[in-house]
Amino acid sequence: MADNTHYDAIVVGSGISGGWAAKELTERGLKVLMLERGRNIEHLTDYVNAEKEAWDYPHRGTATVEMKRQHPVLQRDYPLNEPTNGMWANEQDNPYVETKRFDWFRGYHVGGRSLMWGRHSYRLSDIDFEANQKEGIAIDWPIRYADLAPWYDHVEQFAGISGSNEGLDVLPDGQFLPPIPLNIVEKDVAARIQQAFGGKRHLINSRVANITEPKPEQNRANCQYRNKCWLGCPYGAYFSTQSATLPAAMATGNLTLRPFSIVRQVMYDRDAGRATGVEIIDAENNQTYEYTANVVFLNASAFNSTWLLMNSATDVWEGGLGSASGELGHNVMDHHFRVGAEGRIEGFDDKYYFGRRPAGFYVPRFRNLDGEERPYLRGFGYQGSASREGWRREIAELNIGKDFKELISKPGDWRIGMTAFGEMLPYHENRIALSDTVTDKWGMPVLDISVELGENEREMRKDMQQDAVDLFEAGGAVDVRPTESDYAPGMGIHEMGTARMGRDAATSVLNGNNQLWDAPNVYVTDGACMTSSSCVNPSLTYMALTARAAAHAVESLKNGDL
Amino acid sequence: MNRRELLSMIAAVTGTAMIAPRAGWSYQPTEIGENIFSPEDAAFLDEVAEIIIPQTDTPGAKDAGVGEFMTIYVSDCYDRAQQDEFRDAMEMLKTYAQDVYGADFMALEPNQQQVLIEDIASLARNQSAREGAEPHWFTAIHQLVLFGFFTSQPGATEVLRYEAVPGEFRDTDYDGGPAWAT
Repeated sequence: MADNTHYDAIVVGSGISGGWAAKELTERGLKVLMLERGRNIEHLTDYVNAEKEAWDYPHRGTATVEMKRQHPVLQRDYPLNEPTNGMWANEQDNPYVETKRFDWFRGYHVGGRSLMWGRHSYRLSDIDFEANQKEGIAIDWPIRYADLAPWYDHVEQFAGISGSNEGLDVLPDGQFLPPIPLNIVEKDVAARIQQAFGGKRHLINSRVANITEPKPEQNRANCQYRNKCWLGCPYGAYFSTQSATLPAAMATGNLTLRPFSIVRQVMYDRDAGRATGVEIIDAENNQTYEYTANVVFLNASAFNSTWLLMNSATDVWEGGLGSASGELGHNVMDHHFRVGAEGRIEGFDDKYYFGRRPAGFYVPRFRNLDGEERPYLRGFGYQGSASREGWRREIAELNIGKDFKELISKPGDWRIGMTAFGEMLPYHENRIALSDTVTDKWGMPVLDISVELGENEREMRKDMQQDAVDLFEAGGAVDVRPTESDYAPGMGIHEMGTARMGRDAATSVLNGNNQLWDAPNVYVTDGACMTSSSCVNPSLTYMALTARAAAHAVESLKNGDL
Repeated sequence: MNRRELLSMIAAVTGTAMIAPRAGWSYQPTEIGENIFSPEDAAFLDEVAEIIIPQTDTPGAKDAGVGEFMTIYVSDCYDRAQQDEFRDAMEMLKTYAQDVYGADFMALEPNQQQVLIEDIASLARNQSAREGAEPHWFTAIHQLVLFGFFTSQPGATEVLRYEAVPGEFRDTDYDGGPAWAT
């Protein structure tokens, strides 16, 4: 049924990029409808586990057999646990097909994965933006760092990113709050690495969306060092839709938020070459509704924004809106990880710490820079931390009694560990497509996913491991050993690339302003738009691209271009 | 912003320091399923756990209800094969008591129980030290006792150290005291 309300803009999705679209569009005066397929989660009052301790959970945080049965995909990794139970998509209602294994971890509720994200926030550099063109990989990005730099400034200042300016070309500096501190061991290792590699490799403070100074204008207090971010923060100390962008958008009086709204298609006027709005299924009453708007922003997550395009304008293009280039759904990327090293640090047994940090250290990419040519393209960074062992260290020792209790109640050795996050190249054959056979609870065809690592990534993983060992040995660690655990595409929860930006409608889905070539009043600004993946965590870039695209959309509306 | 201002702002933002559970859960409370163990099983596991982590000037395993916790945990978090293995381990321990003392474990004197568990732990250590050996059956019990104890409130806050809202992160000198619970 048609709804009478017309909006200036519709935003599909309420996660990191959707929240930014809503904020930027409403603050520029547009009347906006934000659609979210799942339920609402109210800031603070719905964070029901945020004040719980380990002993408040019947299974002390462990996933039960029943939870695993309900989440056959999620149970493959850490996201399935007792504290976050219910914060991930219902896998029975929302199945998908794995032609090749892909671990797709989805958050279907207001705020999406902005509530559970890792919060590491790094800028891409021109080394990233120019790489495809220089190396002849896929297609060139239509933008460069200078196009995005002011928007990185803009989103960092509002979101609140803590970090340190380091003056590195590969990891541009930004508008940072004071960093989350390194501990004494990390500082010592950092100094040794600096020395050993002649200033070419760096162990630095993580840059994370946890505020280290309060933002009273946003009603957000600074980080309290509880390290429970994924439960929703009672202090609003980490960036999420709920803590930051949604209240700002609501404060304008221009935002309507509609949960339980599964967008089924973007409505398309083939004569005008424009989208006219969206059609939704109300997940509570199964009724269909239509909403019209001048502009549509797709921020439903990389795969779901692409899925939505595949289901739109199919009377014009068999493959859906944006499919004319043949690239829609292709070039899936993630960050491959779960390989690194760990070691023991001697000489600090008289040192300890107070507080639980939400992040440790970061080692920016150092490979294939300044003319170096490894047997693979691109590079990787590391995330890690040092801490003293607790009671878990003695599990294998099988001692008992009073002396044993006394001993394992004391802190053990200092240990340091890190895991690499590697760039994945865009391969056309890594793709998502609509399934011919499987449908979801609402009768819509689900995604069929087929993604695998290539030779470049497999080659890179050797360095990801060996360099970690070398860094720790140079950093003064002893008993250093390489670590590796099973990685499958998707586990990075950085899926991206399925509606890439480009300079040419023949080879890309979006232009340099994130507009669909075939419908310029449709903007896609989530991970789908990425032309390459860099090796840094991508969310900050989605924020910046979204803010930039929103400004472009408002300007274009004013000029009568849309 | 000083601490007083911070706290008053937090109070303003959150309404109260503690957020009461509401009717509409956003996170789903985990169901506790059927407990496949009897109260006698829980009491037996409590005795074994107390020998591994005894009460001293600080709480021990019984104070933390580790036996009962183990029955809930194994009932809900172990699959059928793991449950069978755990129950087999309990039976092995009981059989060992019968073999050595000709009596039920629960009927033994505390020092006899102590010696018995020490013997078993020693066997388990020898086995786990051998290259490529299967973990000893006692390992499953021992691990779950430590997990149950140190994640309990008495274990985490009275034996280990815990600070719910640290408010800051800083390096310190180590004072010789207990480790942080987490």
